[in-house]
Amino acid sequence: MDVKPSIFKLHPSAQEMLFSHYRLLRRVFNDVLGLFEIDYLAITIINSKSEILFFSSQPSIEYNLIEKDLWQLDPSYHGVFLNQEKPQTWEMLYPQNKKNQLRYYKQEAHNYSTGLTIPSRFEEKRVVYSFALTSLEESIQKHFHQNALRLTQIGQFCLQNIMGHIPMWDIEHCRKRESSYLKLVINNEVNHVEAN
Amino acid sequence: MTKNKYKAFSNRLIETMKAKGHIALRSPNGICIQKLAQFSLASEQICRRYIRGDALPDYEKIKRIASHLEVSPGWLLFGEENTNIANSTSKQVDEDVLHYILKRSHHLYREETGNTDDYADFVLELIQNIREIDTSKDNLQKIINLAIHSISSYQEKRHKQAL
Repeated sequence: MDVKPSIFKLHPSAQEMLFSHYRLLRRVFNDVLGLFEIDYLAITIINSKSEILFFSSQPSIEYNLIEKDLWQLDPSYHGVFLNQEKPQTWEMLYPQNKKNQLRYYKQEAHNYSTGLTIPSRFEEKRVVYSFALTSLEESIQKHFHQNALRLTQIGQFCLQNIMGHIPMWDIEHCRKRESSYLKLVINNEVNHVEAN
Repeated sequence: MTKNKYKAFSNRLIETMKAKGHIALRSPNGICIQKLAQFSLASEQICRRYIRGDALPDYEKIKRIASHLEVSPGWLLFGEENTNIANSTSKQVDEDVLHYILKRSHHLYREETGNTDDYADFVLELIQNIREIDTSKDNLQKIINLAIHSISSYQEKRHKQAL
């Protein structure tokens, strides 16, 4: 995997959003953690401005990756990985290497034994679902790696829940559109007002 | 999201379920979650958390589970292991941080789901995240404030949706 910096930019509120919806994200992710023995789930969204933001069951991971500028080196957010549209194990994405700080903050610091990252799409946006386990059981790890499709569905389920609560202007980093109104005027009288 | 805090309990529960024949070959832990949900009168979701050691049932559920599995509730909860807190390998919690979080959040966090462990889990998981973040004290303070604020903004949105 190449280690050039990502072509995407960081969403200006990426770090803040890891915790500003903490209560919601906790509820959403707790509903699915445990399925396939997963201990970690993170969803990365790339908005229409090519800005990246994260929602995570362990937000300290992404916070540290941003704080240390390591997110740019994460192959999960590179065009090469996204364009090939296939799941990739963490053994491939984050090879074992004493100097691999990215692997340390993402995997080793939390005792994750393995992980899987899956590029996908959600409502025309590019998304990346990342999952990890702490289990050392071979059968559990095998079962996990063989169910990328089901894991993608779990990711979609969570993202749907999240998007039901977080306004799109937060994701797109634009000003909230002021509501405008249509008035129906008949014989100089306003008969009906409707929000646009 | 608290990791395996109650691992000893979950190990005893798994052993006993297997011994009583409540096995599901396709399940990663070999346990039939549906059976556990049936006799504990808990949801399958929370039963998964019991099996993973992420949650502990309340006393009523412990009694039901223990009764069905024909073991003592006390053994199921505590086993015969040394529960001396001084021997625990868990990391120490920064008391100032804990105090701040509890002071700012306790009046905001209402019992929404009926799971009385939820508030305690919220605080402990937040502390766990805070402990792992490598940044300045000022930034940590901001993170705590954001997370606490998310409680009330979440409740407001839920309230609006319910109307």
